Amino acid sequence: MLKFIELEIKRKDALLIQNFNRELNEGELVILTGVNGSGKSTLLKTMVGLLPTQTGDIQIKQRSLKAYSATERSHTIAYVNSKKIEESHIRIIDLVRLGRYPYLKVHRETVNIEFDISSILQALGIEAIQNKFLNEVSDGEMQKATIARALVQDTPILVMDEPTAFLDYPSKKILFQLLKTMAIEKNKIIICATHDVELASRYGTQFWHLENRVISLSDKSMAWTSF
Amino acid sequence: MVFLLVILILIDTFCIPSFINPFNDTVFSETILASIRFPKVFTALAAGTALSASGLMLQQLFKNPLAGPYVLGVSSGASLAVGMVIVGGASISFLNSIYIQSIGIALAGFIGAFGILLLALLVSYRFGYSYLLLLFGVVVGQILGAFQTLIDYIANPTDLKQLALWNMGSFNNTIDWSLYTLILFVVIGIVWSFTLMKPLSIMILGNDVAYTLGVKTKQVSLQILMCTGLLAGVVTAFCGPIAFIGMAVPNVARMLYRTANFKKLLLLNILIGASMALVCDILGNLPIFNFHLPINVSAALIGGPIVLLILLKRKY
Repeated sequence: MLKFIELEIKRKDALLIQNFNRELNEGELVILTGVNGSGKSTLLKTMVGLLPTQTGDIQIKQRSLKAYSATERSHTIAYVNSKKIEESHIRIIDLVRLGRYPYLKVHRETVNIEFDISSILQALGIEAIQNKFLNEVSDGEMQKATIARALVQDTPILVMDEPTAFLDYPSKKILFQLLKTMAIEKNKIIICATHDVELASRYGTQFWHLENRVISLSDKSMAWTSF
Repeated sequence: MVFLLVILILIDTFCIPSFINPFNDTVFSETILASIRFPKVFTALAAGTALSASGLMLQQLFKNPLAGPYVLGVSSGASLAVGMVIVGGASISFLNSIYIQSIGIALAGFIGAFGILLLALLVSYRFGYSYLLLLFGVVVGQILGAFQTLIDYIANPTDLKQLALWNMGSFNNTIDWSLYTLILFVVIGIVWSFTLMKPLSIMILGNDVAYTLGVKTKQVSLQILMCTGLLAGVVTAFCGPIAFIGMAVPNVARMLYRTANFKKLLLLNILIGASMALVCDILGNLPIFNFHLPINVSAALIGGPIVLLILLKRKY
């Protein structure tokens, strides 16, 4: 379903990834590892269309990502990064609801939508704080809200760039378990870059390690013995 | 809020700076109402609306509560252009008619504001919409301010006074054609700004994430810059540089009404902005005192403490 064809990724003039070919099908939780600056984030940004593909191509359902309109893209891929949100005048629940924006008709507001948000809030353990404002919660709680926001977008592909950076250990476990369940039961492709290698190795279904411009596939044990 | 605004409109129309009985329709009172009071009130409403709306958009765009139309350097550009017209224009004899000069001042303000805006747009291609663009605006403002000082220095006393008065801001300088132009541009700008509110609310999540939700972030940012330039530019051209409302009102609105529904936030923001402009005009021209404060003086003197009070009393 998601296919990388001879993909080459550059940052400015430096070549980060060379000749990357791979095909992914539904029901996979891909754990992407690699040292700082190896190009994980650049790869993920290219995957969601934030950066253009210069050489090679990314295809989703046999169609080049370049050919997707903004709306089609937003119905297909959701993206989470670990940037903090610089806004304090909004409630957790309203932040999560912004994930439904791609499905809104012109005159509707994200505040009035019908989608089962509460089960997602519950799964991430932020149901009790949903009415708090962003300046009243911790960084970790805010991060859970941004993850919930992406899950609410309800796309077949979910791309996450270090979603666990601010989370405590139990929350990390809960998140990886949830991601695995979603990938397998809801037939999603979830690609998650993380430095929590040991923990993630227990939940991932595929492990990609980016080193020296090559993304090698490894099995579980390899994923963290390479560190 | 709407109720308060209506009361303020009535007070400002009929009682400031002196009481006119609306039911006693003499020719005199009708003339005053039609040619002085109504233009003044409409100008204040338009200015308050436009400045607070552009302030809100810029603060959200730059994620910086200190941003406002004037931080981009828009007012400095307008001031300098107006300064050149007043000081330079007086030496050319056919420009001496008051009517032509008022058109010249408005045109100069407009060109100055939009010139700087154009510069900001060009620079935004290089810097993106980060704090660097604001810094650029501030530095350009300083440079233009130096030229302004130079013009003040060489100006004769009459021109200098006119220039100083223009810089203090006023709602009383609009006559029929300029009032219609002002209202037309403000209505266009406000309708435009309402269409930008939903994508702007998504950009809370950061521009990268907003892009993956289908928001054309670059296009929206560009539109916000153009829309705020239109609103702030036209107000500056006709009323002079009024800095306070654009910066303060959006902060007040967000403290009073914390929401993700930016259309409602913009509406409240506009109501507060228009009310604030009227309050400044009313309190600056109270009939019991025998003087009239220019709008920038009353805005800072009256608006300032109100904002400080809200700042100190907020519960979070």
